[in-house]
Amino acid sequence: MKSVGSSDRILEVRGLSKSFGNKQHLLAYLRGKKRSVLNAVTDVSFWIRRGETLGLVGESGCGKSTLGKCLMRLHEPTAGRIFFQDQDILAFSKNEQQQLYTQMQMIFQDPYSSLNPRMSVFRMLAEAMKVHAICRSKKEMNNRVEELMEKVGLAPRLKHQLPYAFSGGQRQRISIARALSVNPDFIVADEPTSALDVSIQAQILNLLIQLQDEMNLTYLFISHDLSVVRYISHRIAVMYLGQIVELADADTLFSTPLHPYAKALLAAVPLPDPQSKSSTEAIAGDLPHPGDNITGCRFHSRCDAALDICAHADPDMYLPASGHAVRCFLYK
Amino acid sequence: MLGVLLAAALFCPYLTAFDPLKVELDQVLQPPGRGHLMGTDNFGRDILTRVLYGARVDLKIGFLCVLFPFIIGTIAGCISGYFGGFVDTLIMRTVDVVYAFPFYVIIIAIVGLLGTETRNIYIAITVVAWVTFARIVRGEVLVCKQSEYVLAARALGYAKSRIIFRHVLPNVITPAIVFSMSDIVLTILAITSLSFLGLGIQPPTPEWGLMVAEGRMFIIDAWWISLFPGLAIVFTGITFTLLADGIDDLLRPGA
Amino acid sequence: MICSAPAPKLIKQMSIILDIQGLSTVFESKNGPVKAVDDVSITLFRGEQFGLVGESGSGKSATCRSIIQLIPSPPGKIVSGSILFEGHDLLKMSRREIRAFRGAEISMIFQDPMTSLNPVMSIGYQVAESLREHKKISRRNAREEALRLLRLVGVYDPEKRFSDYPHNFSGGMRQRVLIAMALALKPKILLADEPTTALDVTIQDQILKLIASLQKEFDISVILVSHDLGVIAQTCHRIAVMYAGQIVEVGHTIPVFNKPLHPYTQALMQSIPQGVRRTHTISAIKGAPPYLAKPPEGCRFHPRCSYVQDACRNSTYALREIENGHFTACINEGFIQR
Repeated sequence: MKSVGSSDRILEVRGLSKSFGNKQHLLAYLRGKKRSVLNAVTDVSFWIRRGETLGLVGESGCGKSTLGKCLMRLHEPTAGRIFFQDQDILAFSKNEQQQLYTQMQMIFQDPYSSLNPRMSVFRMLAEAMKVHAICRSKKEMNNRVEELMEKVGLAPRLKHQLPYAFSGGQRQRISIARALSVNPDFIVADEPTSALDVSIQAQILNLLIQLQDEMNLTYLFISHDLSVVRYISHRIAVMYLGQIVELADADTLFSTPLHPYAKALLAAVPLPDPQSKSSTEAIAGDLPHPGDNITGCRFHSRCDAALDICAHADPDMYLPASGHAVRCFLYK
Repeated sequence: MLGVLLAAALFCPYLTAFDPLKVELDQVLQPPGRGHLMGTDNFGRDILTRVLYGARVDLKIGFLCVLFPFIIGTIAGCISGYFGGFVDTLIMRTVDVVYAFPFYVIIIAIVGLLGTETRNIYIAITVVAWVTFARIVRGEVLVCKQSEYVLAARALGYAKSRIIFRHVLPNVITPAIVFSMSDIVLTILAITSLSFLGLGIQPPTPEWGLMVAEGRMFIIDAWWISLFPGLAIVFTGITFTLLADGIDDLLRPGA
Repeated sequence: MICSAPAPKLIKQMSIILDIQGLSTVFESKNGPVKAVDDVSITLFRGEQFGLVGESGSGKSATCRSIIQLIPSPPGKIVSGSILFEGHDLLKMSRREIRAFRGAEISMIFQDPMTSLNPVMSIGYQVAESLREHKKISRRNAREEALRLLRLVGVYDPEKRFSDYPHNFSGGMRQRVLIAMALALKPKILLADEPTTALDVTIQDQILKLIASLQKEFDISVILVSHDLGVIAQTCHRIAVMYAGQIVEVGHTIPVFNKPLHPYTQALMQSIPQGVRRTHTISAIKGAPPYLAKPPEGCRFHPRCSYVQDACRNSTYALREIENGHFTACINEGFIQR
């Protein structure tokens, strides 16, 4: 494994929060309706080193997708700071943000809706280069498009085809090529393999790793699939209801998970080994509705190790071991 | 079929030897036969000629009266759908107001107010017809806005105008185009109805609706005066409906 | 494992409850007929949980639907085979006769709990409906029975939730309701088509354990369809692996996982990043699944197979028993005996 040499942090997030439904229509206010605020992301902090992959894992409604989109300014964070290469990107002007898009890019989950059905591969890749004035001549642009396609494993002769002619796996490759067309240093990958068959998923994961090694890319890899996240990540953050509840090295997380939710999550994953012992008790209950007001630790209603304090106070992130953070009173 | 219509409209001066407007009193009320394939009307004008010239009039009006609403409605729908918020509310409430009035009432009111020149007919119909396009396009834009490729375009830092015109518009315009084909039919019918009522095209310009109206008095003896323009209207209607179906298939990207 | 597997040698003595032989279902497409299910034979024993695993397009869902004839008839048609259930051939039955079986003897639950329930009817009504449809019981009795079922599947406070609508329920809860509906008439066979694919992992765990406990308690035979090898490994006694409409390997779960006898099965297992770190690459299967309107000649997997031999290009499909109850369609002896 290529060692993550320099410890410079390419991305640092502090106290990031995002809620929806903060603004209220005049009419609703007059009718006395209460505001229903959805706290998708609450007080999230983490950093990623250059060349590293941070896996972000959690079930539906935990806010991982929203977090990814906040980093890309597709949603505006309600609170917190984001530092990219030591610069506060939330304070950027329009021009600076424009420039930032050549350094931070994103790939999406659904290969069938992440490509414009009426644009050929060539046009899609060329457009990004045109908008950001990356190439100087038509010839250079053409060469670069072909180069990108080869890099992601697509035959360059297909460059004028429309998306419908490609399979799911190939479309994801096009998505990756599009993200790479602006030469980014950092990529947010939002469930890029969740909609693909198992055998194709393996191809795409290997491609992403290869590209990371070749181009020294940094990834934030978002997924609900623990095995995939373990395979591709150096460190992993587990999210539950908008907060990071545990953050550790991939190996450490899998061998000694500390947070009760992380433990339950790991135990719930069915292993493709019929002789392995699976836990006897499934975790009880359902996720609380994200719009509900919860006092205390968000997990306490389903936690079998809950203490008295858990119902009243919200735990901070504690560091029981170096590089291993847990948001749980058990480790205070 | 479209070819026939277009040919009629474009080439009609060469197809007939008759002047559609000239009155020939000695040829009055001739039944269809030699020399006058569709007969003549009460002024002695050859019906066939008038039908062919009428094609010009009707097609031109039909086309223009769909084109302007199409452009205005599509732009309004795009803006409304993409930006949402206050702009959206404003545009959509305007649409609702227009919808509240019966179609013909507004048109008759406007034409009545401004006079019956052809230009006013364009204005009247445009004012009323853009709303349907706006609604159709807005609906499509709302869906398209959520697609991941639009998100990707935003993530690539594209300007809003680029996103709207290059990414959203091509993908929302198909239903509008399909509707515009059938709208041509509706518009032509509207024109013919207006002319029938005396509020549209004025005589002596040949226009199918007008011709049908003029033939009303003679329908028992000289049935051909109303019949042939009527058939022309039906023929045009079928042509454009079929065209609408075909276009839908054509514009779908891919297999 | 969630279910304890009965020892392989006992299987032969257990009774067969469903015997599918040579089932083939064809769909008409504009590129020609597509054999979605091609000569599939499955023997289901009483009280076992049988897994059907494959990727998309493998024909596993179509197989399930063919069993209770839920194939939409203009494009699709069951063209051959027999399905014997308690002496009756299901494929020879009329639609009316099959309807008596559906729900009562053989039930099915589907993948997406969000769309499988009627949004304008209350949950209780829908559960009671299947009871009243098949058995002529009074409304009050149906309600009692429905409440009992809801309690059985773990819906808290069923009296209160009886009149709730589907949108009041989470995905996991809805799937529980669907299971309750499926079990209302005490069927002998439950067909579960990717029942947990749309659910979160912790909820999936709950649902799989629920199915396992109900299966044991009521001695129901289950056919579980999934693309997730983990789910299959933890819940099924025996499994069949499907590729391009055909079954390529069948056997007891443990032997199949320990030593797969078909290159596709092995490749599938090697492409899952289970417990693997990036230092060992997972090997992807090269190429793409075949175009079912024109599948490859001979063995359908041969263009992507690392063990391909000349004979594979024009072999005919047949399942051979290699060990006790472990069948494979592969003809490469070198691979099998490795």
